[in-house]
Amino acid sequence: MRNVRYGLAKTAKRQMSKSVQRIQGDLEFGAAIRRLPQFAGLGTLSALLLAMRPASAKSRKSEKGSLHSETQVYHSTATLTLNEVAVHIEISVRDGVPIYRQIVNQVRYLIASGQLAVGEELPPIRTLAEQLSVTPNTIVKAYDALQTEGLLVKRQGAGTYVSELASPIRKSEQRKILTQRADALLAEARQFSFSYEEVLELIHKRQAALDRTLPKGPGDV
Amino acid sequence: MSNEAMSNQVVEVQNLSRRFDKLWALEEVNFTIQPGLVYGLVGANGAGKTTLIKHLLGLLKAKQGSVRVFGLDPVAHPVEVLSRIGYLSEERDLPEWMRIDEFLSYSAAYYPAWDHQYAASLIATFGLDVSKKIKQLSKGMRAQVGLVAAVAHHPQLLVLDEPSTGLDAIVRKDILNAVIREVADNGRTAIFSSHLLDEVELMSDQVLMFHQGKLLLFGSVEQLREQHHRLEVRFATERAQLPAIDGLLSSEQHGQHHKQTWSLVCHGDASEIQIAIAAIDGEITQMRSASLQEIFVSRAGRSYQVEV
Amino acid sequence: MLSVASQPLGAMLWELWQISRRDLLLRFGFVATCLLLLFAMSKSLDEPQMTVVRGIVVMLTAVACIFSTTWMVDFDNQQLGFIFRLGFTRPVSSRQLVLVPMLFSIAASMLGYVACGLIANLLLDLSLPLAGPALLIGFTVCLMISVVWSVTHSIEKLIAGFLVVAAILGGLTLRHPPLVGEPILLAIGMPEYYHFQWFDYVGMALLIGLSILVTIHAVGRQRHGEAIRWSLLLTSIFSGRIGNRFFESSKTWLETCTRPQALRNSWSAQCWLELRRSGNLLVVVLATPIVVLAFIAGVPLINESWGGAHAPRMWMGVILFSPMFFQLLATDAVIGLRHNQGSTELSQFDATRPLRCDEMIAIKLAAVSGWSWLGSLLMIATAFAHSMFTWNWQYWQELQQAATAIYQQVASGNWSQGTLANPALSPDGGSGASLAWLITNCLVVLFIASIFSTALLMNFVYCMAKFPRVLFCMMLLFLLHIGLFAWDVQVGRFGFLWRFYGYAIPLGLNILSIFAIGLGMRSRLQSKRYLAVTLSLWLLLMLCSFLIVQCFSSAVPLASIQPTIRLWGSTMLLVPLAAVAFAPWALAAFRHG
Repeated sequence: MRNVRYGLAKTAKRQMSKSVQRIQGDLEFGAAIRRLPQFAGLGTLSALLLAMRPASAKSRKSEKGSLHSETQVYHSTATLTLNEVAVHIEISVRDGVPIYRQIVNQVRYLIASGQLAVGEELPPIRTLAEQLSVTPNTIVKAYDALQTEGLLVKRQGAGTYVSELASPIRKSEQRKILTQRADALLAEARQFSFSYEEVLELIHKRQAALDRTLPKGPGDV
Repeated sequence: MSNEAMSNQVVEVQNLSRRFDKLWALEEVNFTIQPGLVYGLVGANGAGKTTLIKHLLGLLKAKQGSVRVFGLDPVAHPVEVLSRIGYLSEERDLPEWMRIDEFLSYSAAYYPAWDHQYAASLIATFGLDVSKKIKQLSKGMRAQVGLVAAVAHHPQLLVLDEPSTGLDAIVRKDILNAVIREVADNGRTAIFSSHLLDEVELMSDQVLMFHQGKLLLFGSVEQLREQHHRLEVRFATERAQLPAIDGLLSSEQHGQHHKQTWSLVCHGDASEIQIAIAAIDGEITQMRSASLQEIFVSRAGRSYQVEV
Repeated sequence: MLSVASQPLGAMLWELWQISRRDLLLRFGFVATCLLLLFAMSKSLDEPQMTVVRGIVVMLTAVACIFSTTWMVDFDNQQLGFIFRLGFTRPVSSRQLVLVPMLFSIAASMLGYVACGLIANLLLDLSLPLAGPALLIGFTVCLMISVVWSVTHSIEKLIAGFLVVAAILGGLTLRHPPLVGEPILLAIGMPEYYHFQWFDYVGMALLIGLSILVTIHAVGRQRHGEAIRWSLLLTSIFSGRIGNRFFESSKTWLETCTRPQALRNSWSAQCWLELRRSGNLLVVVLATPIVVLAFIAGVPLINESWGGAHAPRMWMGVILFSPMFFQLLATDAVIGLRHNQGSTELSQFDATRPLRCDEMIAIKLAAVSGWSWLGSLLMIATAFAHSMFTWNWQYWQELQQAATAIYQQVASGNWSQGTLANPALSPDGGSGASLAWLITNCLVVLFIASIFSTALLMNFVYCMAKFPRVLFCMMLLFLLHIGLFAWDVQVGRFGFLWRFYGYAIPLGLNILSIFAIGLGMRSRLQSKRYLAVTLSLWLLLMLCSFLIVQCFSSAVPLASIQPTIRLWGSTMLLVPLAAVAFAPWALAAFRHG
């Protein structure tokens, strides 16, 4: 259902993008990364709810049923080319997250992951709206929210840029995102009746696999 | 009712009702449309969307209630109102015998604000051959020509009746982009009706949901989604029927043998619903805000149930 | 292209001109050719004959100018808004939306008349009246447009149209008294006829103003989704409770009668559809004899010189004309073609019926023939009733005598030559019976011929709708030839051409029919049943025609008939068969593109 097309950085120079590109074939990891920004927005409520859910065969059945009822998922993708770096923003109607929130989360994630550098210009409202096929006011709202968070600055008549303040925020943002991701992982593991040790073991294994594909080791980001 | 108060609202509909024979096409409809926003008109076929649009254009006279567009009655002032509206009809009926260039300059004559450059650039983007007759065009090209005629005078209000029906993704995107451009660059207002609810969810700031002539819901997309929740509930014992819950709009059970899991769509405050579910020994396994599609199906479905 | 159109008015005028120019040209060409024809023959005319010519020219030109497609096309359109459907969403006031096309049509018809009249005056030295007829034409067009545009229900439209035509004809005859003694056809060619009094002008101006106001109001209402149902208005005004109840009960009765209750198969369903769709014709079929009756019975009351003695003759003409009239109307009703914003197509609904093309055609043919026979028989019955009522048998008797005389001659000829096939046809004893035999034969031929001619008409309509340019070219060619003929009468140099056509056209028709039969058969659209019925009908037609010809063959020896005529006769052999065999293909061409 989820599309795992993660051609995030065809022309990317940054290391993070490169590493992602290398492990593109690895579906599990790709899917997990792809869900990142959305989880960030879901907040802890659903993660906690999921965590509280006892593992059982029935719950899986119910999920199947709900998937069945949602026959059509509306995706919208935008590829932004910023300083020769192509990045994706992808929104989905069925996420249960307001669309402007999805954009906020993804831009925040792009900043946190370094794909958007300080001082870089974001696409004009109209361009992004056209690419995502969303109403311009949603973009306005998203940019406004990011501006109040201090991640973006609007220069009079010159567009919207990633603010200077974004760089100190970055580390904490990254931590926040990783925390959420860890929460999600643990919740899912609980649901699948995996013990904490098993999860740790799995993480070790994946780290080893990642090391093999990327001899230099994971990037600094 | 002062003139100033009216003038900053693009559309004001008050107590509008319309009956065709014995069928209510519109019943007690009230809403106002603010400038600079995109309004999505949602509803099943025959819910009253087209009837409403016809009222806005003055193609139907308000028999009960009133319709004001730019503070004017569209029936009494067709010229003033229509020259500020861009309209793309569902059938896209255009004069078949005209060539595209003829049609464009013909349409331009009606609108003093016609932007020839813009029209030409749109035609170029769509890759249309202006020497072709409209008769020879495909459905998508027809929609594109209709679209150019609808937006080239930069209308203050863009009215699109089922713009996506029967079109491929590319032309659909063309149309949506034209709406986005008008709204983003010029701060124009747009109303579009559609039964592709996902499209409406993405494209509109405000949603007007019609069902059997009534304005079921009216509000911003986020507001609506915040108010509606979709839950997966599990009960310890099997249940043939759910007890009454405040704000429950629709319920559906999964699995033929184990009638323990239900998926619900509820309206109201999230915490109150959680309390209500807990009170009937239900366990919430999943909870998220409902999509427009789910809201519509549950809302429209319920009134069907009530009637049957 | 349009350069003047920077204003709504300019754009509207440009659109009108684009839509109507071909129609205008065709009408103008028609009149001009007729004038040429007259011009060719006018050298030998004296003054009384010139008066007749003048009358004919005025009438012809007037008719050609009045009936234009710009408003005729909308005549059968029941949809609200008709031509204005697109205009309704344009930022133009309803007043402008109505006035521009209305005044354009009026001006076009008036100018058309004046132009034709000027040509006639220059060419033929007819000294036709110009202003008067032009004024009347404008007046008529204005009223007709007003009726067609402001009435939305098709039956009401027809009735209103009839009423307007009747009122104008009545008015024309009423104006007649100053020229008592002249038939109206002659009178309208005289300038004296158009010496209007002030009250004429005032009346016309008032009516024109009123009709324009009504039209603007009615179209304005339609624009905002409110049609005026005049009949409901009238019934609500005039009918009390009883009338209303009668109205309601008859309506329900009609509805139950025409409801598709026991439609067993697609055949009966389609038959029901065709009949129901052409149901409006019933009104026409019923109303036409009444209108004709009113005219024939009413004219002598107003105008002494017309006298009752002409009535049978007029009836005769009407009866001869009526099958064709009804055939045309019925064909138009069942053909199922739609004019959609300038292009003609078979409606999707018709095209998707689960019926073979030949079945559809058969049903359509049956429906058209049925209507045309019903109409004609009603007309004959009315004529009979009128003659009986006024006891005016003179002409009928003459006619019968003439027929008997011809028959006697033929029969005796046969007898004397001893070639009579049927011994019962003796000149003295079995005269009555044999006359009946001949009449039966003729009726059978007429009946079958009506079906075949309908097929021919349908083919023509389908083909012409598919290739409108061909029709246009053919019309032009035809008009050209008429012009040539007119010139030839003066010069007398083209005899060979006409002789050539005399051979070539029937030959061409025959070849065309063979080609059409081949095309029709190759498409395999005809079922065996259809072919069998067609063939048997055709054989019957041939047989009956042969018998009739045989009766006359001795009286008119074959050798005395010119070869061209014989050739023309041979086209009668193949063309009907070709028409019916080809019709499914023509329909399929529309249905399947």
